[in-house]
Amino acid sequence: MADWLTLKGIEKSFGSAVKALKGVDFRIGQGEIIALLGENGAGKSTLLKAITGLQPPDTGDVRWLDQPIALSSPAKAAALGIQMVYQELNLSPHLSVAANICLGNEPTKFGIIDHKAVYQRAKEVLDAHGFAIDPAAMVDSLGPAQRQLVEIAKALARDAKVLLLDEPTSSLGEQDILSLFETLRDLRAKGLGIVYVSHRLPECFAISDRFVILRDGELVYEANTAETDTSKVVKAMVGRDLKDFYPRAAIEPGAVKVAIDLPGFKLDIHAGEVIGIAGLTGSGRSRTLRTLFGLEPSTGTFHIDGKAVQLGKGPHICIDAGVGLLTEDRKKTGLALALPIRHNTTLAGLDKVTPGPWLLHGPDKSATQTQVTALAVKTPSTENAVGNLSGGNQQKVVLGRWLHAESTVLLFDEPTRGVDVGSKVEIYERMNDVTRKGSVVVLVSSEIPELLGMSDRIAVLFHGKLVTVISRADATPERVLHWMMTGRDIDPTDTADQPHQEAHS
Amino acid sequence: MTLAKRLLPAVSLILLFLFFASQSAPFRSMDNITNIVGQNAWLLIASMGMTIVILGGGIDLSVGSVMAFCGVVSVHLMVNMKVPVPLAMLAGLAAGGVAGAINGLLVTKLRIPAFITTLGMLLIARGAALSLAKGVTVDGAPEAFMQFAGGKVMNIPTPLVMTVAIAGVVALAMHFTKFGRYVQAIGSNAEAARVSGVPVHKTLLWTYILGGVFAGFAGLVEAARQGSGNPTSAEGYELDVVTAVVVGGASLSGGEGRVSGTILGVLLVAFLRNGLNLIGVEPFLQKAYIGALILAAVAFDQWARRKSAA
Repeated sequence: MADWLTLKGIEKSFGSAVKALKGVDFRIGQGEIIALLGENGAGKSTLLKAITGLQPPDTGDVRWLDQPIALSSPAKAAALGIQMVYQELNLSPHLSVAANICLGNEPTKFGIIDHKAVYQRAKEVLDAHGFAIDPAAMVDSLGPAQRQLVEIAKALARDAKVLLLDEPTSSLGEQDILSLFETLRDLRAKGLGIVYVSHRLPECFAISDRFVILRDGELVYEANTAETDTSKVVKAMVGRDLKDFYPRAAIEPGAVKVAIDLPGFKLDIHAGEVIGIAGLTGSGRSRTLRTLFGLEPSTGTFHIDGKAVQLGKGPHICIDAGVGLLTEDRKKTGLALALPIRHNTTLAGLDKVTPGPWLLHGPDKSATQTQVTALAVKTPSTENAVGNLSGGNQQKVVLGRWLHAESTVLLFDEPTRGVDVGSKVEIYERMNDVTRKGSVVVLVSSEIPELLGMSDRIAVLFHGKLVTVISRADATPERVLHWMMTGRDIDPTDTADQPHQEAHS
Repeated sequence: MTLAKRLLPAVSLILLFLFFASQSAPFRSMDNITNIVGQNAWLLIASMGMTIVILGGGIDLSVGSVMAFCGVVSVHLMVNMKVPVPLAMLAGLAAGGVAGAINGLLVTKLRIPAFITTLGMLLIARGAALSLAKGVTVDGAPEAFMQFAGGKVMNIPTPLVMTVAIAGVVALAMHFTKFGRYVQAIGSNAEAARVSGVPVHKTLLWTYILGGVFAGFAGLVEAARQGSGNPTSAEGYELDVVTAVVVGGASLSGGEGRVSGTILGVLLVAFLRNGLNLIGVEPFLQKAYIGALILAAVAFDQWARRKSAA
């Protein structure tokens, strides 16, 4: 049987510098499920976009059932039967299931939508695959699992031959995952080729026939699922050694400064420590930081220098206690982009500029200038709009805000995302500076090298719970990734056996 | 705010003034200027409140109704209840503050969009004014009250003194208080402000209270000018107020706007209306000109935004 899709030597560049795909060979056969893995930036999404025609490759040989073709547009890919089911569900919540399934593809009669035929077509697709969903139901009345099925039905209604699934289980519970797997196996039996993209290793082992791993735009590993194991897969994903890119200084930790006791997260942090928090998307990393910043309700306790900090009552209480949060999305929740650097820098600490209700602009300017100079923010003036700065300089302004507010417990959520290399190193240096003075940094990052490079200890979250704390000396990328994906330590003796069974029990 | 954007209202105002002055001799007379100030004192005062509300990312459509309501409350108290004038005026301002507080609480606590909240208040305040006045104008305001809008301080008309003083205080307050900084930060990015520890709800509540109090003040000025509390007055005035603020360079999406701009916006609207009258443009068409003005201002705002984004 010919493969549905065969890609040979696929290359894709963005600009002249960034090569996202470097000669990738990838094939999707009939009746198989492929687990496609790779760290952030490895090239997975670029490959998917090449396959769906969103970003046609620069060079490379593309064949569909052994016939050369060009995947030049999404319409062309869809016409062949390549359908993508996105991670963020793409359904219209206020339309019926049937209307969603036929969206953009509605049967018509005299140029008018034939609602009866819409319903019929949706019902046929749903019934043919045994999806127990009423075509007339409104999508907003469905749970996440059913929505996922509607998404898949939508793809099937367009006669999908190749189905691409991007993190399909991120919003599903265990039971729903099992039934999704049933569905996928069904579709496989009907000859579809399925690409399953996920960070969740146990699931990939449970559902796939073949593993394909990308790293730095290259296909670095390919193996039949039956012939590989977790440690081989993790090793292939991580691949590289840590370079001297992470200038974490050796700082002797002091007394316990921060005592955290949240449900499922108990940790003492010493003065001068950088604690990395590792975990997959949805494992509760950001939520932990938001809780410690008073943004989420919590039954836990939080002590700084022995003093209790009241949680869940808004950030100002935590800010007064010395906590600062660098949010994950600095454009959306970190900065007022249209306002000057000055307004953004002193916002959390105006009382340190002038006491009382007044605001004096002289001290405000000099306080901002102090941070701009200390952090080497590249700007001619403190009065420039922060939105005109580069990503790295914007992030420095957020950092300057907390340094100005004299925060001693700094919560960093993905502090180097979208930041250039130079600014990255500067941000790391500032982490060294503040911890040298006895402050504490809690670093959430999806970049394992960054976590390993900058943290004194790494706390791993799995399904919302702290499962282990690994000291810098004991941390290897493989080990951390293994904990993140399975919730348990790496153990070379049993990784070949059913790892997926345990993770979901 | 770009320099062009800050200069545009000023340049437009000067050009408009020169145009009318060249076309109409009565326009440039001192009497007419005094007249314009007296007739538009309410607009400037109410626009001060609206500037604060819009800067915080909100809107207050209840301004006209609250003006009428506060005027009726005050005059009713002085005429029918024989309450001393200063006390009755304070009660009028308080009524505006209460209306604003209700707006603010609904917007912050119940998260009803400001547009809907203040649309509701527009009807509620109008109904309350009509009911309190039993549908007719409360006449016979005491002389002491009418002096408030018609008198002179050191030979300068009271409305001019009042508007200059109020605009000055608001401008300074927005510039030299943390409240002013917070309002701007919230209007620019409410979530970022919250994460910086800014008391978002409390600050927004105060913007609406101030909006109500300034509307109340404007209502008192109009009531004093007319010597009565008219429950059907000031209908649609909120649109003039929003026009003045937006023409003055404020952005309806919040975070942008300044008192100086609003003053220019008020003068533009006031001169345009007066000038069109004097050069003999029929009143029906005048509305269309004001409409064109606001569209031009917003179109320019969008254009400048796209340009600075590019």
